[in-house]
Parts: sequence; structure tokens; C-alpha cells
Amino acid sequence: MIDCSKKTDAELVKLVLEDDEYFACLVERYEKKLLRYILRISDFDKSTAEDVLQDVFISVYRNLNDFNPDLSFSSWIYRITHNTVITYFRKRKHESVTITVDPDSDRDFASLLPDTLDLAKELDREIAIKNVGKALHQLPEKYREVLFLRYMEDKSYKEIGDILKKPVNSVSVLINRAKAKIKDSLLISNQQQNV
Amino acid sequence: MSEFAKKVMDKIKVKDIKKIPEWHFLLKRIFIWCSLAVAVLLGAFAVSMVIFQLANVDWEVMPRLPHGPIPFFFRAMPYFWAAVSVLLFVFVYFDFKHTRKGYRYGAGTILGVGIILSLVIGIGIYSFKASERADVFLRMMPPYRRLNMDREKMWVSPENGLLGGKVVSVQGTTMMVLEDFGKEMWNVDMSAAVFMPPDTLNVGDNVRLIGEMKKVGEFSAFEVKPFRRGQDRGPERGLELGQDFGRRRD
Repeated sequence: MIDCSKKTDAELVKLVLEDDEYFACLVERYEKKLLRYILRISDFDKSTAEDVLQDVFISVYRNLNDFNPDLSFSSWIYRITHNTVITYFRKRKHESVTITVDPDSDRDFASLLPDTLDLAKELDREIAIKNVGKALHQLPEKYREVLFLRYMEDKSYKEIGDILKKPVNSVSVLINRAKAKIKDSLLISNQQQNV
Repeated sequence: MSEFAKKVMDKIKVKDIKKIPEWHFLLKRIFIWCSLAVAVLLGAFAVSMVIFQLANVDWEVMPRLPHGPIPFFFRAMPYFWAAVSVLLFVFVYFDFKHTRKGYRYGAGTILGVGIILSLVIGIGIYSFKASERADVFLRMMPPYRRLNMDREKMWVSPENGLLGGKVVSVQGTTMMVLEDFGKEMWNVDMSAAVFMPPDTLNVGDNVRLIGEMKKVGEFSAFEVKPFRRGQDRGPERGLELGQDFGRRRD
């Protein structure tokens, strides 16, 4: 039985290049995070998401020699996941994607947002969660994804840039726009409720 | 091992999936960087051609054209090489984006550095006269000539005192027969002409004349210059060209 809990990602990658059995450690380490990520950025049901995830790990395994140690392994594997999801989208010829997320995950996400959205603090918490969830659903995928990476996965701007293959400035612009869009959306729903 | 991890590992074993070898990625990266270097160099060459053509605009034509300076500017601009430069800059941008860390830089940075690099190398190419030589070489190719006929057309305007074409024969020291770029034959009186540079009038040469049309087929030249760009900047260049026909007029 291999114990890899104390090994870093980079160490594991080196080990996998010598012995395939260590790849299972990387799969175990990332399967839950990546499944959550796929479900967040897509409209896939769990079974399809698992199929996508399997393809992600196969792709990671095949391309392991291309891993650049200057990059964190986490960013690299998220990037592959992002690209695989896009490939699935293209296969299904979905131009725009709407996600269906269970209410509990909305609650998780919304609970992370009040620090950056003053308006949310002023609203009744339950209504806020509902509204933030709704606003998130209405966001285009590119904005939803950066918010998820920033606030759910706690990725830095540089890491998000590495995952999405964008300059840090563009990531910053995307996040600010996404927050502004949510804010606008919340303002509108707040006004509608007051009327 | 989790169920899912086991499934992935089984799939790798059953389907006999292999890791792509490192050399494959290395080759890909080398190819990207080489194509990037080639694109930058070609871009620099295109920039040097733009500089060369701009530096050798036939300003003397401008006051003689009937519609003033604006149509002249539009005709004189080196569109072909400017378009090639833009295309290569776009190629450099996308190529650089495909390098490992290319995505970290914005379009402004990549294009800015690419353009500055091409300009610096382009100025170098121009100052070593490589663009001039390339222009002569490329003009031997009919498709390139056809694409760059604007200048020739501009010089077939005898009614405005402009005549360009090939020297068919030289008769004595004062007359020559010239076939213009529109394939019309002209008897040219050179008795009052200044040669710039002197000592350069060979049968078969392309020349441009400034003067006056006497009647159809007869032209009186005031200035005789080589048609080739960059050749009329001083007597020393003319002497470099070679054959002396004893036609020093200055």
C-alpha cells in the first residue's frame, strides 16, 4: 500500500513518471475538488461529470511529461479540467450553458460573498442567499468560473490566470466585472422586492 | 484507493494508455519558438521594406500630378509590405501566446515588444541595404512586379512631364529610345538633361525621366534618374553601378 499523504504534488509527479501506481494518489487527491469544479462550471449531471473527470485524469496521465514545474500542479490540473469541459461543451454543441446547482451549494457560495458585497450584508440572509444564487445562475460562464475559483477554491489571481491561460490583469478585470454584475443584479432584485 | 481512482487506474491498464514521451513536447516547443523567430525576422524584413519604400518616395512627382498631394500620398504608401508586416505581427502574437508562458502577457505587451523588435532589426536590415537588394531581386518575379505596379503607372504620365521605362538604345550623346512601362516607344532628347547620378545609362536599364512631352512619341528630358529605388542619392552610388557611358552632364 502506497502512502502518499505526506508527498507534495511535484514529488508525486516525479514518482508517477517512474512508477504508474503513484498516479492513484494524484487521482485521490484531486477527484473531489475537480468533480465539484466540473459541476460548478457546467450543466452536467453527476454521472456525466464523472465521465469528464475520468477523461481529465487520463489526459493528465498522458501529458504528464508536459507538466511545467514552474507552474503549480494544481493550476495545471485545473487547466486541463477547464479545457476538457470546454471540449465536452463543443462536442455537445452548446453555445451558452446554464447551470443547475443544488440550493446547498448556492448557500456555500453566497456565504463567501458578503465580505466583498456590502449590499448582501444589508439584506435578509435567506433572501440574500436566494438572490445571490439566482444572480450567479444568470452570470455568463466566464464570470461564474472566476468567482468560483476565487471564492470557493481560494485561488490567487495568478493561479486563476494559469488555469484559464489569461494575464493576471484580465483575471482582475473579469472578477471585478463579475462582482459588478452580481451587485447590479442584486440591486434590481432588491428594488423589485421593495416595490 | 478510492473507487474512482481504481476505475481510472483500471482504464489506463486495460486500454494500455501510455504517457506521451517528453521529446514530443520538447519538439513542439522548439517548433513554436523557431516559427516565432522566423516570424519576427520576416516581420523585421517587411518593416525594412516599408522603411526602404518610404525613404525612396518619388517626391519630385508630387507637384506634377494633376490632383494634388493627397492621391499621391495614397499611391506612394507601401501597402503591400505594410500588410505583410501586420500579418506577421498577428502571427507573432498568436505564436507567442502558444508558448508555455505566453498567456501571461497581454496583447499590448506582446505586440509592443514584437513591433519594437521588428523595427530595430528592420532598421538594421535597411541600413545594411539588404532591403534595396531584396527589392531588386523581388522585382524580377512577375507576381511581385504586378503587385507593385503603382510606381510604374505613376511614371507613365508624359503629359505631366513624367516618363519611366527601359532604355532600348542610346544614339550618340543626346538621344535615346525608351520603351515606357506601358510598352510605348519614345525618342528622348537628352541634350538638356541632368543625370542623377551621372555616368549611369545602360541599354536595358530602367530609368525615370522628368521633362516635357513634345508630341506623341517624342519627349525632352530635363532629368534622367535610374528607376531602381535608392540609386539616385549621389554620384558615388552611380559609380558603384559600373559602366561609364561618358554621359556626365553636371
